[in-house]
Amino acid sequence: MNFLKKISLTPDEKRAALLIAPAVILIFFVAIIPIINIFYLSLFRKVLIFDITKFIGFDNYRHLLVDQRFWNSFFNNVNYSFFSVAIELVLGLTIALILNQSFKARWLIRTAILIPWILPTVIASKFWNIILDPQYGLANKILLNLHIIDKNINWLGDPFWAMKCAIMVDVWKYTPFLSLLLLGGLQLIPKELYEAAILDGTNKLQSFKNITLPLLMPTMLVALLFRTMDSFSAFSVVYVLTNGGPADSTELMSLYSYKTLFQSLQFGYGAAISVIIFLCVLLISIFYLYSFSYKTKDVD
Amino acid sequence: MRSKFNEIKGRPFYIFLLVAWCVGPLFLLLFYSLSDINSGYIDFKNYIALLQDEDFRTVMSNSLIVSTVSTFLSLSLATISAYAITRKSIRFGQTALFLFLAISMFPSIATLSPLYLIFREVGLRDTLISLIIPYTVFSLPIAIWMLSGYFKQIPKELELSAKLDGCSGFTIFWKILFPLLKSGLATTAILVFVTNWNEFIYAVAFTTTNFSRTLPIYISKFPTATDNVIGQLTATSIIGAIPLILIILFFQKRIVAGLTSGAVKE
Repeated sequence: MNFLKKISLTPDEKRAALLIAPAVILIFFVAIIPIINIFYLSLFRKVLIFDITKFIGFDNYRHLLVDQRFWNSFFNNVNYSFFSVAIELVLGLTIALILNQSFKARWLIRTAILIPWILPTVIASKFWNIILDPQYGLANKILLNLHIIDKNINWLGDPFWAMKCAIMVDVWKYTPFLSLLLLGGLQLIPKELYEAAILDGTNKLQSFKNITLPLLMPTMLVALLFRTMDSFSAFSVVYVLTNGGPADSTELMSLYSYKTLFQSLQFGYGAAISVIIFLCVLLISIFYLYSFSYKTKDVD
Repeated sequence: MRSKFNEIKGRPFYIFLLVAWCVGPLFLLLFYSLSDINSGYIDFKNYIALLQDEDFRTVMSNSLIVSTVSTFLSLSLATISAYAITRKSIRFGQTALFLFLAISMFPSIATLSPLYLIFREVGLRDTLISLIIPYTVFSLPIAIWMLSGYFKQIPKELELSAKLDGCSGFTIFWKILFPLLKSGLATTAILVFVTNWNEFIYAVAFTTTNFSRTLPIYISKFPTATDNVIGQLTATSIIGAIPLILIILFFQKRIVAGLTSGAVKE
């Protein structure tokens, strides 16, 4: 009886359920069902052009384990995520510290900072495509004139440079966004703490280490969570900039999955790769949420 | 004293670098779109050509329709849901919010192929509806999450006194809550609109012709930037960026507040 009372809805809850229903139903059919469906799909050999649909159990995953191209895209992704997020964090924090003081032209700087965030990734990638063009690009022209290089570099056609260029585009686009988040966190730190630190005779570095970093930690973790998850399913930067080339050196997991799905039309195998991406993102969020709760407990 | 303590040497220079780094590409794009490679003079011919281009006009209106409709639908549904979660006394409200937040973090690629297969089955491939549906639904969770935050800031006493005065639920919402919620709604709408305007992966997978392509896809289809299409490519990019730049100029304070509130508050 007691149990029944617990699950039966109060009148207020009934009204609330009715109001939430449209959103929940839509989310259920367009987000939840497809997620379940993709796990199911990954157990099939499904080739659209030949109209083949055959249950094969975990064969797709077994094939993934020995698929060189998959592992290549996985490690490319780790590389891409690690370096872009690390550079963005360091640069973003530096910018936030510089901006965290009263200064003029706040309006101008805020406008400027929002531009990379708001521009579509496609436009950013196409822009760098133009600049990095081996023959006509501005990058080579400037570097040649400054005598930093002595012949044109094929930035996006050379496996050594292509990934670095992709990371650069990511850094260009997301560093300002990260610095905004961190600036928001910095402004929450009470100024009295720094004043007390000066009275105690601590230097800049010490107060940064003992006041700024620990108090900024929660904001930093949230920012890192968003950026790491995003970069693990990054798609449009490499799709537009290099389409994965040269020689698959910039092929990230999402791009490999996309090509398998929509170019070779192997929906079962493409789904299996998508599942791996989903699981990676899930693991990352669990990891961050864990360290987040751990860290906040620490501070209390 | 404090300002001295935190002073960083050469700050104006760093700030100049930052602004150049952020704005530079936009100016270069503008420069490319206006300069005639042969004569070297400023020339609006790329823009004139664009305005006469049937395909470009279709694509631009596609982008506007898809982003506006999905933002409107998403915001309407999210407002009702956020209202129910925060203003009614219910259990598990917070849990529901966290579930919504978790769903908003699904990577697009994970829902892409099942949705594609469904749309293909029911003949929605290469239509604007095939974009409006995922855009509306995938912006719902984050919109509900943000709007719930704004609802919570409105004191409950306001509603109670209105109820005592005999106002109906709908009147309370429309006459009392909505005016107070306006600025929060605007912030959420801007963020949702920008996300949908820029969305790429669903649009590239679900559209096959300019009949339903959105601007990011249209731009991505330009051949590599080597030859004489640079002028048109950059002009298209600049026009595609104009609505976004206007949004920054008018609503920057709101955007910054909206972006940071989620990350900083917790």
